[in-house]
Amino acid sequence: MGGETVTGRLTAMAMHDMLNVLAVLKENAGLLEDLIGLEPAIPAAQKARFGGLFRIMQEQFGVGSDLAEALKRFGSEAAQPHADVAPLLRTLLAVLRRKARGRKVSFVVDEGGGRGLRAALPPAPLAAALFAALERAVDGLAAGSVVRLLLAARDGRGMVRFIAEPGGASGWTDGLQTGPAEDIACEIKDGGAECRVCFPCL
Amino acid sequence: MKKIKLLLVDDEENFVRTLAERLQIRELGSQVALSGEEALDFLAKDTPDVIVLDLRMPGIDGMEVLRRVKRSKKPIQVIILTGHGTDKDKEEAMRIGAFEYHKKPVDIDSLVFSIKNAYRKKMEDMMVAATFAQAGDFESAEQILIDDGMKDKAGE
Repeated sequence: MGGETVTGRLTAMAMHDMLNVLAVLKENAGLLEDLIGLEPAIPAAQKARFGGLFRIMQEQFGVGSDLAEALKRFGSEAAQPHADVAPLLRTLLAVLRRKARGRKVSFVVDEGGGRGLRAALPPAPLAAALFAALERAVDGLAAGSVVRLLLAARDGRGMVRFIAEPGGASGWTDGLQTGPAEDIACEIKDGGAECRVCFPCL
Repeated sequence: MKKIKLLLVDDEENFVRTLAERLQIRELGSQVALSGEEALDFLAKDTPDVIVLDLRMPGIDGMEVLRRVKRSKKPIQVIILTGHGTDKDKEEAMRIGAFEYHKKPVDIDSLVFSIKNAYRKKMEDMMVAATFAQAGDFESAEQILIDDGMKDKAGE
């Protein structure tokens, strides 16, 4: 078993357990909320205060579960010879969510003409190239920017286009490697306003 | 509404006991089985209306329990509630005849809604089956009771 396969498997197993842990915590927090709601001795104002706290807890359980689910999927598919591009992209966005929110940069995935797109290479190298571009967008774009991620395929080549809005947001692509890995190309367009991660597809 | 006979099957005891208590607060009493084997023992003695079933369990897993429930031809609706399911698992469970598929952690009100819908479906199926049986068409009556997706392939 190769290094990536082992790492992927361990990640998937750990995330599998993490989902269980989160489910137990969520149910117990929910039960506590139920019991407080049923307790007549607790004043209404205090119940409302508790309600607010429980809502935050439930929201955070949701965030944790999404992240664990995304990593579990990534880990369990690490050994696959082909990568499903849209789910892989969503996994990376889940991992980057907190940082992107802090920088006020958001992403919109548009599968459009690339629905069901599969890369003819394993997930890891493609993930590395996509993640580098995503991270560069978060670090290099102004607060309030939106990056549209367009999936497309033509003549056996797949691509993810990173289009930053508002338009003309150039410069964020500086430093991205043009050929991050064999078979994967990172093309910079429109004077640095757009980046395309290209790869062979099925 | 009549009391729904509910069986919860999950090997994570901390989870399933808490879930049972939360459902009880919402007037849904339940029995708990902590493994696939325990679930099958329960089914040998009793017939719940609805089962909420985890998939990944040591020993007999949830998918196998679902298969055996459908093979038994008992009018039982099965809701899958799993933390580890893949898209393929979901497809397979629905093909075999699961009523619905939820991922953990699930919103309790969504789960209650699903359980009540599953029970309603069971009752509707039984009424339609009774109509066929009254008309002497026992084969159609039986088919309706086991027809939740997999039909003739149940148990294969």
